[in-house]
Amino acid sequence: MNQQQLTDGTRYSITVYQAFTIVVSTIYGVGVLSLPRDVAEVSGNDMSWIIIVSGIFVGIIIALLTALCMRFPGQTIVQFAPEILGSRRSHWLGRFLTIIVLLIIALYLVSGISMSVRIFGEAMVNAVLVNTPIEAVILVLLISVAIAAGSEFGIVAKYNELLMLLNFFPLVIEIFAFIQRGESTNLLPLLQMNTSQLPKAMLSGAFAYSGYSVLLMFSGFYKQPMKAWKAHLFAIGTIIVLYWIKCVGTLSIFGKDELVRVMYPVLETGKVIRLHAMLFERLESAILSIWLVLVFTSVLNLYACTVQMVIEFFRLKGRYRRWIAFAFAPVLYVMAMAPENMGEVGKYAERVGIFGFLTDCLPILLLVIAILRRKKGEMPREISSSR
Amino acid sequence: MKKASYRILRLKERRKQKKLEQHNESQLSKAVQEETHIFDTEAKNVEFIKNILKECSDLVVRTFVIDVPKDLKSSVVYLDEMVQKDINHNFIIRPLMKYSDKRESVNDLYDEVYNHLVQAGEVKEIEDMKSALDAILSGDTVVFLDNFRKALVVGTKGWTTRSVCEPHAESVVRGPREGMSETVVCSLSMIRHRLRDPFLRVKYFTKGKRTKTTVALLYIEGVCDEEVVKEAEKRIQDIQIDGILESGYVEEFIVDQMWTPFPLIQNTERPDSVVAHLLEGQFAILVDGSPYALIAPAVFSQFYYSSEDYYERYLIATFLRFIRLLSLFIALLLPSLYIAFVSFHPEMVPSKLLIAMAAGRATVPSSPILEALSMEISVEILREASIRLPSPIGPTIGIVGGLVIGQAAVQAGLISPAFVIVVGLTTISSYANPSYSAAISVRLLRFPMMMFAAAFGLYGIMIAMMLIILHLVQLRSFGVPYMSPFAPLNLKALKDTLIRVPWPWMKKRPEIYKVNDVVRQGGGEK
Repeated sequence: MNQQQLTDGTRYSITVYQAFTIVVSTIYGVGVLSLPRDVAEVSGNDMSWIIIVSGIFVGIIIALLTALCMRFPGQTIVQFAPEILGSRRSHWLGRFLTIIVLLIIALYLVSGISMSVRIFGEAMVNAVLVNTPIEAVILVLLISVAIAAGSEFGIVAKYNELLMLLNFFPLVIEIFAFIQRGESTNLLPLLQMNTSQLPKAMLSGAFAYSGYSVLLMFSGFYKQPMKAWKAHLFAIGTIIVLYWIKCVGTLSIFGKDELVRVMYPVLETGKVIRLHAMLFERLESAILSIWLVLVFTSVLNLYACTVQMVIEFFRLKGRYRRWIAFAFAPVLYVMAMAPENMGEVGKYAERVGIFGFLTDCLPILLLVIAILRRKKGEMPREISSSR
Repeated sequence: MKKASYRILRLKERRKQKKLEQHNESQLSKAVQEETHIFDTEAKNVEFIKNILKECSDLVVRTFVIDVPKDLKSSVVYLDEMVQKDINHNFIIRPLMKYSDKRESVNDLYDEVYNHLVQAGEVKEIEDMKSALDAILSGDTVVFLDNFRKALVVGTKGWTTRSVCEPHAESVVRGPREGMSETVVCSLSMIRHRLRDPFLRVKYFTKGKRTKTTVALLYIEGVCDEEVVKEAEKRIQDIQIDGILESGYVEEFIVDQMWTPFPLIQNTERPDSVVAHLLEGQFAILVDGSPYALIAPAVFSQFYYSSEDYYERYLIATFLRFIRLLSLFIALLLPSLYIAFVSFHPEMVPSKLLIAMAAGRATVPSSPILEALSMEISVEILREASIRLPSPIGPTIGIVGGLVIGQAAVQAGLISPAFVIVVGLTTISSYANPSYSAAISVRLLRFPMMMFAAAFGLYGIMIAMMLIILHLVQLRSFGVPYMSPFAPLNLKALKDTLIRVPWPWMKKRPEIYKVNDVVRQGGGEK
């Protein structure tokens, strides 16, 4: 017997801090494991500033997305896209274009989830659970994420909020490793890159930041939509700092030439620590287990967005949420298992990265159209009255 | 087709049930319906009550004559063991029997009895038989008089109770040593004694069709959120059961979510703790027959709070909280970590320790998970046995239990010595938890945790943790998120969570429970 629960009475329950944590934990996901290698392959020693510049570049995109969301406070992309694209005369055209936009975003979300899960599963099986079949690892992760994604957005937000501090936990171990084993000579010399390579390097950096398109869905649930600026820009700032520490740290430990040969540089930092007074040795299992939290929240946010998109698009009732989440799981599993080996996974992941970057730019187009057509949403009464 | 026949069957069953109920009603309590007015002669009244309470040897009916011109019969009815006999003898029966006034007209006698003769504080006038019966059954005394179609109920409740003693389940080093007792009145007196606020509200409900148990809802008006109080009232009123013997009955009826191992309503037998919670904006429920008060809305922090935290100096209190939180994690995780390290991640254990552990495990016949499960279950059995065992033979359990999980088992090569340490530490840690019902839920969660660890090592443990945290985030107690103030984050309320800041810094109430009157200090004494 479930008692009727007292609720907040509104769907607009995501606070500014929760918005911050959502953006941080979505971007800060599985890609970080191999991030320094991916960037170093193109930009070499110059990655220590490339990563910041491309971060700022992504920050601008996020700012544009935020502007779009703030134009339609209290609405998700599913709700405002038809308004921007459609007109009174040709209703079907707007709907058709919306379906295309949403399909692209959904495809990106789904492929993002499956790639994240696969990459994490590979890392897990290679480094820690050597005798466990990867199918089992992926299945367990997918099922538990599906359970979590079957809950409401408010709960997903609280979940992110609660696990936020764990994002910084591996950082302690990493910083320790950098202090102990890092050498500043590995960082120099700078500016060795050809200028012709700069755009490519910038893009490879920008791929690492993908995933922020979730805010197109989450921003429809903000308690104070006009403070979204603060949350999103703080979030991207935090991630730039985190990424920079990781890149510079691993570079200082391994050096450019070794870095491109290491599969998961961030994971390797756990191995290089030498401490006699420590209870545990070889911390990569521990790091990878804590990493699970980051992957979990990141995948969860993408997953919950996909589910919410389906629910809003088909105007379903909230109680179907759980079943939709479970319905996606087999699809995701098949997609995750599609690449045959690690090499192929890398290729797929790269494609997903590019695709994701393009998808994230799609809403900018929407913003331009919205400005040109002077479309604007109104503040829902619930939000304006609560303040 | 099948459905229809099933429906008919059910309809028949329901009709049968209804008939049975009606039959019962007519047999037992047809007369106890509220319409039955008090009769005009005392004899009829007594007859009526004797008829309903037939074969109750403890029913006392004292019939006598009051000395007025036309001799007036009167009787005093009560249950022998439920009343304070001194009051009955000296202040009801004696004045009535001694009274003698030849001039008095019969009509004025009732007022005379009410105003002068019955010398007790709590006197009520009733007009129907049902309330007379209720009064008798709850320990009051009823006075019937001839010629009047009303009766007097005198409050003489006085059954035997346990004396106030130290709360056994929540003992503290520094702090009051009073525990609440089984009667609501007694517990309430301890609470009122500590909280002399005119805004303390106490609402009585009578619940339980047969037990007619008193359930009291306590809150401070203006501090507790009114929505929450309304919801609580509604949920208490919706309870339909024949008997309530302990506050646990009420708890399960009013709790938000049944499918959870976590206690969504806190319980305590300490009056000071009840008052502290009332002051923070929660409400309390007292149930007659139980020394445990229910406190809601509850949050996760009950897992590591003790009332002593507020009496001890803040630094020590903070330290103790960290210790308790650590013990919470040890109790939940240590056996599963052992399993994970032994079966999946031996590389993480330092080599010297690993060699020692391997030597210990060399003779152990079973796999780590079986070893762990069997040991943990035997500890649970030991714990249960030691609670049930009468105290004279209690020490036996200690000795035998020590043999089972101790040296003998290790020497026989059935368990590794390292795991004995793990089991010991886990058990001790789980009892460092101040609240028994919270501790037991952690002990329960240990077992699925161990399964996950046996299947996937550290990865499995983390997955299980993620699911537990998800569940915690989803929970609500009377509309308050269970993990607050961590999620949703409330920086001001964090002053009294993992740490406890000194009292002068807590100028405001924690805003977890949507309190109305926020200011706690300053603003002048009222």
